Amino acid sequence: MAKNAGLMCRVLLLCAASFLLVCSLTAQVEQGDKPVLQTENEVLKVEQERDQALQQRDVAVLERIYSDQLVFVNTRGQKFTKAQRLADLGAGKVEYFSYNQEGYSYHVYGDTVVMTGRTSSVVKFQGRVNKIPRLFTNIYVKTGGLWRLAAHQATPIVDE
Amino acid sequence: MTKLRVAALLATMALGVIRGATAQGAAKHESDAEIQKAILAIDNERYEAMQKRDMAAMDRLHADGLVFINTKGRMLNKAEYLEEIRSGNLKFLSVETDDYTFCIYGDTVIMSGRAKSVVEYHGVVNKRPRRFTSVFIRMQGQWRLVAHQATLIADE
Repeated sequence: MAKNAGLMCRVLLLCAASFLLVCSLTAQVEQGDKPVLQTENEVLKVEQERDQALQQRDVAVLERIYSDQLVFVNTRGQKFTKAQRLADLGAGKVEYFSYNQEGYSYHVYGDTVVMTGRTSSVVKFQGRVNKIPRLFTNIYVKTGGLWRLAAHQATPIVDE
Repeated sequence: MTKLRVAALLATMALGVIRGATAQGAAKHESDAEIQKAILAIDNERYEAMQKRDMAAMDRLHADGLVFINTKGRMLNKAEYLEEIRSGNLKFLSVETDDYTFCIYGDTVIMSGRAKSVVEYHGVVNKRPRRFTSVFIRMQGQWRLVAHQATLIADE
């Protein structure tokens, strides 16, 4: 009887350990199995690459960084697809006179990152020069092992 | 008897693992149309909760890490946004949205649209059309809003 009880305890302990291991692995998968700070650094690097490409009108780099399903909403509430945005940049319809972004914050959800920030870049588009400070949200999604910009929206800060 | 108990325990655990795997499999086989329908239902629920000031529903439908940027370029976290609703500082007098697009990346959905809702914010009524982007992420089986930004449409 005592022998059976000991055996049962060992089986139960083994089951419990297996269960905890499965839970732990599941949690790691949900968190992307990677420290949040590392993800933030990866996204920041892509964002900086995008900043450079925008200023240099490097459409090839932007083609790689932008998701094919990109949704881009500018400060005038106009919505653009990836093709429209790249065509405007390639044709010189978007012109940056200065570039300044700051105050980044990140929320990491596995392979999706919500990045917010503030910009006061001076940019000309459709004949208008925009100098108004604005808040933006960038949604980065990891697809095919690369972080890609899936959505961008900017809103002027009216009280400044 | 002991062997029966151990067998029952193992069977229960195995069933749990199978159920989990089945749930994940089902999620993967959801069509885009089904996901869009689920997101629209959640968004409607969100608007109803805002109009009724149902704070329990608001808490459930918004992620703890919510980032909300309104048409004035003001950024609010979840606690601040829910407080605006609870206090009545933000009221939806009518709800009208259209021109939706959905981009689906697994358990992340980016919904873009246009809103013509009439909103009262700190005593000022805003009827101007605006473009919004909402991001929903499925967490533990529940879709939650993680980010929302609205921008006035200048030419309308």
